[in-house]
Amino acid sequence: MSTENPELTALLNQNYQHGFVSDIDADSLPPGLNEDTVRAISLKKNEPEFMLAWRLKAYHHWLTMVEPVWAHVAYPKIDYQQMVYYSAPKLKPTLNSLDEVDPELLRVYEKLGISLNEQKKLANVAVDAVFDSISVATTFKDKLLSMGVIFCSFSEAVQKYPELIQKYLGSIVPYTDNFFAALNAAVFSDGSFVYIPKGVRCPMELSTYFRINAASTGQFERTLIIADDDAYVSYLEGCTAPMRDENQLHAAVVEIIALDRATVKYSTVQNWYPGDKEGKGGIYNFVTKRGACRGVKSKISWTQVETGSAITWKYPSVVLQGDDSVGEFYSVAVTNNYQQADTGTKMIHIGKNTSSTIISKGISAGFGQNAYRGLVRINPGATNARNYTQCDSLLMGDRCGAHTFPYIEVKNPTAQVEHEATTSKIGADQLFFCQQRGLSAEDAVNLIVNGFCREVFRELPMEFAVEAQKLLGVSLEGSVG
Amino acid sequence: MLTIKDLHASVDNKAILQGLNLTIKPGEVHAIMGPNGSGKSTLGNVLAGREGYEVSGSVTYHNQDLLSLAPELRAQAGLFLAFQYPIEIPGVSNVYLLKAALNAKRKAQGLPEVDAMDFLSSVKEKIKAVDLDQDFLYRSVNEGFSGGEKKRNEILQMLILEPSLIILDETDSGLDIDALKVVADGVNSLRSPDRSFIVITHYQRLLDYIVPDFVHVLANGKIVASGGKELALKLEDQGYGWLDNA
Amino acid sequence: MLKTITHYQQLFANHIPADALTPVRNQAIDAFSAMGFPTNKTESWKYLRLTVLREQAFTLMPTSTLDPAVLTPLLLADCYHVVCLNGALMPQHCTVPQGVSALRARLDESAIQTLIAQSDLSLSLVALNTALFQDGLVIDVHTKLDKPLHCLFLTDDAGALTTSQQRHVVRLGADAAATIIAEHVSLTTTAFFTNAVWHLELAERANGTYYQVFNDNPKAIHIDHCILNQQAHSVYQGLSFLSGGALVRTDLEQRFLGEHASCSVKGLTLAQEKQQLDQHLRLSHSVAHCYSEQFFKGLALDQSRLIFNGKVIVDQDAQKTDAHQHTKHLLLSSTAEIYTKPELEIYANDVKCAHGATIGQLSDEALFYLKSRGITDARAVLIKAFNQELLDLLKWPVLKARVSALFAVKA
Repeated sequence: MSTENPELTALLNQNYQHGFVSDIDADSLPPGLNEDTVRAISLKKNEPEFMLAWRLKAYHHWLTMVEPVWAHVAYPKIDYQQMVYYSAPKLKPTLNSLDEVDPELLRVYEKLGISLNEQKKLANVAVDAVFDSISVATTFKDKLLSMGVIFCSFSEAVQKYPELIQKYLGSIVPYTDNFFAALNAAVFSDGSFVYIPKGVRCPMELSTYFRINAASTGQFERTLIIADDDAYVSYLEGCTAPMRDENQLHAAVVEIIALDRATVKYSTVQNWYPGDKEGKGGIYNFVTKRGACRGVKSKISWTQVETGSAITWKYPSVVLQGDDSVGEFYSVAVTNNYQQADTGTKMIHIGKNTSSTIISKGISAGFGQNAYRGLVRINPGATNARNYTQCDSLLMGDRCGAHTFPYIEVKNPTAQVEHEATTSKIGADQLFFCQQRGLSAEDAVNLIVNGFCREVFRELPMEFAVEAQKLLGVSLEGSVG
Repeated sequence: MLTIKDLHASVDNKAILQGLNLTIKPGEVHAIMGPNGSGKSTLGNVLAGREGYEVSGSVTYHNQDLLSLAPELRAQAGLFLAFQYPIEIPGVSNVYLLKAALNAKRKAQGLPEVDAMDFLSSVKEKIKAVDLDQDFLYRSVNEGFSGGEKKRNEILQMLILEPSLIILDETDSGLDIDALKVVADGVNSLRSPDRSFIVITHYQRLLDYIVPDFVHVLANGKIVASGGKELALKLEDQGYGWLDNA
Repeated sequence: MLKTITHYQQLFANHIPADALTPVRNQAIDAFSAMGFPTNKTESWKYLRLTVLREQAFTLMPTSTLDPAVLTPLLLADCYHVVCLNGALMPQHCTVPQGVSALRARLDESAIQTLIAQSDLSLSLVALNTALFQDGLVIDVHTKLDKPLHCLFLTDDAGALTTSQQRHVVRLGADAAATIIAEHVSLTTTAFFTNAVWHLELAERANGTYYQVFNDNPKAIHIDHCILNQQAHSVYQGLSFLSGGALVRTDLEQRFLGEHASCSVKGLTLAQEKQQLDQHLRLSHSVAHCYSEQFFKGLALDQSRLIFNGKVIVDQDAQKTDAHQHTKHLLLSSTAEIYTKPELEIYANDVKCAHGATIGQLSDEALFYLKSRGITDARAVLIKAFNQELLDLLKWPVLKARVSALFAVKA
């Protein structure tokens, strides 16, 4: 790293704040993956027959697939037989209220700044807490249910709303989609389920908080969000993991369906453990997220702030099927030290008058490698489709990388597609200018970086935006040279 | 206010300032003139604390050792450099920078943060003085501004921050006569018995509008001649050549 | 597929005499045999349909003779001339400065052998060329050429259903300057397959300008791979006009090897009928202080497919790089397709890199405005306006008129 700003380099050394391990009694399967593992997971979850059948089909398909190598990331081969596919904190069979949740678990979430206690929680955010493989608590369920909004763990939804699950599960991300989606379909253990009925505007932000705790455990959660006609929901996702020397795999799937005139806003602040300064440990975050704008005038908006994980591989996408539907992708991805990110989006225009916007901000520091990979496809029938894409990269330090791989495929002569990309660094002149106006070097960097990310941060709900800005500051501390 | 003794500065072993001495008392306006390459801008940069110079000598500012302070501490102590080439900062709005800078200064003085409403009305008042539209407050700092707009934006920052020592680094370069008047009016409105100015310029023209108490000629990194404002007129008339024979 | 691989193996065994490059050629034919022609599973060939190459076995092009009455109108005035017919140099029709010769005559030169031995045999068409090439040009320039060098590449009826595998070497010495115009013209209406590899070497302070006009017949297949190496302070300007051929693929693989060099590449593409026109560029900033610029425009009509991929790589040591890329494409038919991929791969921080890509149509307002002023061929007028920016870069009136005619779209 450069030593041009020694006072800045000295600011380094703020460690990952969520790196603690909790001593929670866990119910785990032995490491390894075979058909019995899949059956055991399904059995533990007391799933109906159709779920097991689907999981097994996914497992057998997965066996025929090879791990993708096209992403601009490098990591040692993952041994899928060394991994634990199911780990759950031991719980009482059914939980009637939060009072029955293991107090140690509640303390974990308190420590993370997420209160599951409804008296103390944020007034307008309902939380589903997922710990290792399973959902441990969901707040505000009853209040939401009174309006017809279903917000519960995926396991609970399988028991209570099997018809919705059977109808929509895998309908956006089929198990054949890719290697990690197939693996997830075979072994996913929990996640969140959301259904917003016709005409309902969900009165509060829905939030899932993911936590990996157990060692050698893969986390495979699956989230399904269905917004019926004229519904609206804003959903937030946060994640942390302990500091461990070995890498852990997180292969999640998120599916969103927006029916006529429905709007779904999905925000992620991803802060999985990124590994240490030498690149040891950290989460492999290999995630498939996709939404389908099935209905006319529907809208799906992804906003992500990716600061954690050793490797991030995700492309939250929108399939714009309904006429006049809208897809959005706003992303800030930070790679510091030895982090690698290959992230972006796919916007598939099928319906008429569909429009999409992509704003991607990549920040590379240390030895970090940051790639934007995106696809904009305008199908022959997508008359009057519009896309605007802007990819900006900010480089801090002379050993990092910023890459842009946009694919643009246009098959309709009424389409307007525009793509722009820029690369810049935090200039010594910019820093000096801010310092001359009285800002400390640290504040100056934060100011410039937040300015760089402004178009994305303003898409986040207020509480998240503040957290995201702070997180960015922590992630980049000491990285300016 | 400011005492500079035997100031040397070099870049990559190339000497630029070579023993500069200057004393500035509260309320005074000093013009620094000189040919290109004489070290005028270096003086402003070294006083403001820009990195990349090897500096020796002493500079005392309000009884503090100025050279030992980080750039932001100098700024918080009331030193303001109006840049010759103001920098662009995409995504950071002008009004945000103004507020952050003002609060940094207030914090250093042990004052509470400025009241948002008071601040906004004060800014809106002062932006009129530099003849910029209100929209400029919400645009990114200097991004897409014309040369003249950038310079006026520097003056706006100066008016908000109310510094005690102001260094204008060739603020007149690239300005038409109307913009020059706006800049000069802004500067003159801040002239007071406890505030001092260093006006760095190549041309006498600016000094018709900002009338200096002293004029110094910088050549080869030293002050080679000092006098009153009539010295500037002589330079205008005869150029810098006569100094070589002086 | 296997059938055609065997076919090219046989061509190699039966027709390529042993020469100084035999060891390299053996490796090349093995590499090609292992890979075959690229499929759409190969990332850089994703959008091109090469079915015809996998199915049609092209034999090697025979030599032929040229009627001066056909040739004369094609020659540009005030130029040196090089004429190749069916891939073979026609010395009797050439007027050249010193240093221009046939590759076949100079294969014993170690510098040329070294250059050819550096071919990237992991690229299947480069491997095929390395195995099978028979002739090409060697252009060595050590002064500032007083006139452009007009290189005409002709294919006649004798070349029907055959392939010419050409290898060309252009070397500009220190401080040398040259303008080369490569024009590809078909004298036949039948299908043929040209597979050419160019080596362009620019020494210190050399100044090279390279114009390419691809005007093959509507059944022709043309693959053109160009390797460009630039030493310090060299200046390269490339300008390509791509309109003819059934399937044309051009690759530019450029590398800066010395500081303060600059590379500007521009082009105009018109895809019509069922044409597939594919341009790939890869500019590598491996050293500091270099400048690169890419500016490409294109139109896709009818059932055509237009592909553009421009990549800039900035290595860790290439600080102060200034690289820009802009593309503007018009999709003018509901059955045509455009694929663009403007890529950046950056490993240095003090750089200025930007790209912009747009795909759109002619403006309805502009069309209406022109029509309301009584202009009946408003569409053709707007297309001409779109093309003009690049056509205006052609300095020779005869060439400009010829190329402009290729890009005129009927009302």
